[in-house]
Amino acid sequence: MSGHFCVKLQGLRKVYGERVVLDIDDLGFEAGRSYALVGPNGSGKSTLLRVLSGVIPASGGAIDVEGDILRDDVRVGYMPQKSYTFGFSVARNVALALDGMKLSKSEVTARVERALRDVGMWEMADARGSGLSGGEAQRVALARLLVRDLDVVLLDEPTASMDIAGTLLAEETLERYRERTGCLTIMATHAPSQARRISHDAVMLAAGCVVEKGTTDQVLSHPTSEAGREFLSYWAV
Amino acid sequence: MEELAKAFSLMFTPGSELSQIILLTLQMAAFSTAISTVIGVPLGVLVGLYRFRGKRLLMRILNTLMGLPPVLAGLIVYFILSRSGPLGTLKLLYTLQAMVTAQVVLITPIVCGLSATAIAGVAPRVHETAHGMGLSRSRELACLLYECRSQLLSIVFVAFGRSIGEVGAVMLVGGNVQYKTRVMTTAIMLETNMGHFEYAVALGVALLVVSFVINSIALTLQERTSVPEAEGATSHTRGGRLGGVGR
Repeated sequence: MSGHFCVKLQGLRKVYGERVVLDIDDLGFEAGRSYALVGPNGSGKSTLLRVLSGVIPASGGAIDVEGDILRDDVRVGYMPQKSYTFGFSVARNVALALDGMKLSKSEVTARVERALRDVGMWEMADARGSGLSGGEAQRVALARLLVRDLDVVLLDEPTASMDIAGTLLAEETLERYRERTGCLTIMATHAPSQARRISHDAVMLAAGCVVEKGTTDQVLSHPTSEAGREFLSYWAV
Repeated sequence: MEELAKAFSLMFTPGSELSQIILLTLQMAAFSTAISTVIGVPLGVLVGLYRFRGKRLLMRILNTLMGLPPVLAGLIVYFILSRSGPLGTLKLLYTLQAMVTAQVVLITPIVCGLSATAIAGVAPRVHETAHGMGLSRSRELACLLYECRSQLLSIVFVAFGRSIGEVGAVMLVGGNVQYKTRVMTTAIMLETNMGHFEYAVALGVALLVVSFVINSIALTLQERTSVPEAEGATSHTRGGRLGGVGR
């Protein structure tokens, strides 16, 4: 179980040349809770996740961790929007995530099997990663992420290519994982129904800034900002 | 036709001049490809993988060198190895080593440029995924090379093909000396000039057969190792940790 901690973002900015793609004054994420990142295309959802995961550096500001755990001890897992599936077998793809963890072979096998069963891909454990469909590849990417013990789970539209059955299974798996580990989950999504199903809280971004934050119901049902109302009006359609 | 049949029978006669020419050609192509691969692939991987100041200029230079005229490459090596050149004391002119050197000058930019392009196409997405998985840099590199193995293999065979069919540079620095530096392409030129067309045609066919065999092996290996295309980005921190300013 992860200790109790809170990830605080202060003055976090990401700039490409003259263009500000992320500008967050103050935002906090609490361990054990699940957050949905919503907002139109180009609003900064993916950028925020990439900065949080360390894939790209922030241009300014701070990411601090307050609580029972030191910042450098926080174990972060990130599933990008277009996750790469390596050419070797599905099982090897998942086992790769355990590389360097000094686990016994039987422990690795057991973890890989559990992770693949959780996402409904155990039957395809021996299939080559390069031959998977988009939805299958996303399931493998999710298994590859959740096979480890993480404190922070970052997901960028992890079910975008999945069918409804796969999506529901992935959501159930994520929920079980969060309950088991007490991790913090932050997930970018385009579907309001999914945001309601999987998250306690929601953060809405527009043009790189936070325009709404609060419980998912609050954000999605009672937006206070003009940008929030405009974005949600399209969802109503 | 009689000449042609004679030439073909000579190819398979151990110790004949023709079999010696074929052997020397293969030796030259193999050595130059091996050296170019050892230099060009790691350099290409570095260029494809990292962003650095002057990368665009370097890529332009590499692209220019990929089209370097063989005669010019031969001329450069000739000047370097000639008696009055900086390496003249080594007395390498008109030797196999000189021909290999000229080939390396020609082929290395091709290997390097193509490797850089192959790596750059896959690296960003592999990086983002590997980072998210918390893989070490060395493991990420191993995965990247594994994913690019098909393209890298093709590049090596392209280099070999270029090497085996080259004539201008090897003629300049090798001199087409009988039993010493005569390779298939220079022999074809010589036999054509002397009016021995059947012999030249037989050599040409032999060259084509060798190229065909090499390409067949390359294609078979490529089919066995092929993986789908990918895309992605490069980061400043290792995976498994929170990111931040300049980390």
